[in-house]
Amino acid sequence: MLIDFNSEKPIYLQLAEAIEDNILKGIFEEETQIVSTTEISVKYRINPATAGKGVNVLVDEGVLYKKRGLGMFVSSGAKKKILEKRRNSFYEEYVQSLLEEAAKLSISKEDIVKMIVGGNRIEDNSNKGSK
Amino acid sequence: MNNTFKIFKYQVYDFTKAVIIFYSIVISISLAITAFVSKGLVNVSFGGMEMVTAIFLFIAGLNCFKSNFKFMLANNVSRRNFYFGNIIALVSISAFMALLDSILNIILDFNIPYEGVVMQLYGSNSFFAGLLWCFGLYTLFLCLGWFITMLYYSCNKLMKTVISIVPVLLIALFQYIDWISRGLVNRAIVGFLDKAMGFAYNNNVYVGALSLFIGAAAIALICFLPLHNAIAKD
Amino acid sequence: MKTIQIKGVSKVYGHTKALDKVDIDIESNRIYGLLGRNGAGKTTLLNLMTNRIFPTEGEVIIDGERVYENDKVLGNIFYMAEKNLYPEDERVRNIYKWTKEFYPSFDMVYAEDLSEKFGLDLKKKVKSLSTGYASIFKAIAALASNTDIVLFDEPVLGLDANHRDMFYKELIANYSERPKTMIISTHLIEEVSSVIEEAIIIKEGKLILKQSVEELLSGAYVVSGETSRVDKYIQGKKCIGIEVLGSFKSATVFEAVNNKDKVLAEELQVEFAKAELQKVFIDLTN
Repeated sequence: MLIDFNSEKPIYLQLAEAIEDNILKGIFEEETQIVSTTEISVKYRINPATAGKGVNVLVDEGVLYKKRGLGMFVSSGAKKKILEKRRNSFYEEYVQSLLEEAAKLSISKEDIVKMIVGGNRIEDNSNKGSK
Repeated sequence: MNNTFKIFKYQVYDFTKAVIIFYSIVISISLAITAFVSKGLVNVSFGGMEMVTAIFLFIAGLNCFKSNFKFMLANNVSRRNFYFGNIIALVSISAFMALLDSILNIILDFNIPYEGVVMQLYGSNSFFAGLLWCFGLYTLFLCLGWFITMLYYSCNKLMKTVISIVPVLLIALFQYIDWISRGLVNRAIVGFLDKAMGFAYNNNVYVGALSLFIGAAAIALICFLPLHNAIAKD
Repeated sequence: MKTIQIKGVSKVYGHTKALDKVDIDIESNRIYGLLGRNGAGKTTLLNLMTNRIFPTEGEVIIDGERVYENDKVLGNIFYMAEKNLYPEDERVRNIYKWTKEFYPSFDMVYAEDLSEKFGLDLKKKVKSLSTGYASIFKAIAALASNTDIVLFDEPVLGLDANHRDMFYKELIANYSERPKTMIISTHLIEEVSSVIEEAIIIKEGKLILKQSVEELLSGAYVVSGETSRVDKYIQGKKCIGIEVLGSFKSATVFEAVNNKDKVLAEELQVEFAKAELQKVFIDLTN
């Protein structure tokens, strides 16, 4: 689990996303317990209230649920929920910024598609001769 | 109340080391003198060891404020409880040392020609009177030392200088008045001490002890003045 | 629930006003960061909260009672001062023992555990501790005190990066175990920004801001780009700091971004970045 303190997002959202990532990757399996909020706050040096907020976001979304006296568990169907949510925001979160960056570098949409399909760097004609 | 007791305990703890060192020196000297005298090697008149204790306590009083006050601040004790805890500790330490000295008196007197300070001053041999008188004297000296450091601690540089000069000026003033009044001041002081210390009343040790206690109580009371608004300093 | 109320407190030293009519309410069981530049009045404020000095004006109320000479209230606060107030010739272990006398809730076993973790030698005398270990020694006393309110004045002074990290982790573990009101006064802001829930920023003896760090950061951002464009963008906005590098300019804007701003930014080709607490702090206190 990685939390990037330099990200623009608030820490609690980053924490929620990091837990989601772990669920998607299968590190936290459905109907199993996840690490406690205390462990999270100590390990990542974040305020317990902030950590609690991050976990609560996932509880509200039905990704996690609390078992009284035991801790936090991953809900069944959590993976599906996260996938849906992430797919819905994929365009805004990734494609849009990709296009913005590409525009800055004057990379055309066609080139982007080529890169995605071919997995290559774009051909830069000006440098070819020197190689 | 609870904190008063803790402060008392700490102050006594803080004194323990110095008192042990002091008495090991006093007892070694006493033993040495006893040995020399009993072997007839020397013939000294030896006595008034209590004054040494009084001076020791005065110096101890001068040194027992600053570090303890800071420690009290570190532990968030109020000045009021610090004051009461200290006063009780100072009185207890004085009583303890007066008792030790009085016992030492008897032991020394038993072995060698020795006179305690009360015997020297009043010619009284009463254990109880001697104990009480020394107790009063020690409390007075200890509180005086404590008061002086506290006074210095609570003053800024200018006030420190003023306070240091005042006694000198007072003495000079007394001398001057004494000179123009042909010894009136000196006679008044001597007369006062004569009465206060009980010499005027048929060498009454108890009057002396009472005066010493009154003096100590007065100093102990005014100690609260510099203390009540003292703050943390370097 | 309010636990500490600082009501119209001023502190005057001679001709300088160390604190000027400060009003702060501290909620219980939260971790606060008391932030300010050197000489802003952080230590004065903490000293006033603990009866170590007296306010020229105003009063400090803790759990409904005036703090002045109040042993009951004071016994529930542990204040780790930046200056050493402990007897220099005493050994660390002995001081912990005496701390236990004054604070019955002091956890000796925990203090010993922490000392071992940090490599603090309990047999050492206070005067022989390095700056870092002097801080560690006092911080351990504060963590182990188990009082409802714990105040730290520059707790990581002289600590290396490892020990600083350890300290904040221990502090969080301690807080999670038994929630309490903590106030951490420090000028090392970046490190503490994820640890604290609320920031109290003071400048020249005045309270500038008291807000949750999250709110504070979501209500501030940095905008950067070509100077004239940035200038155009920040027109009419609450801008608290500006940095210029050639024809490049970056400005800290102290308000939340709305959709209109996003459109404008795209039009002007200026970029947004997250405002770090340290950055906001520097801009606010400059």
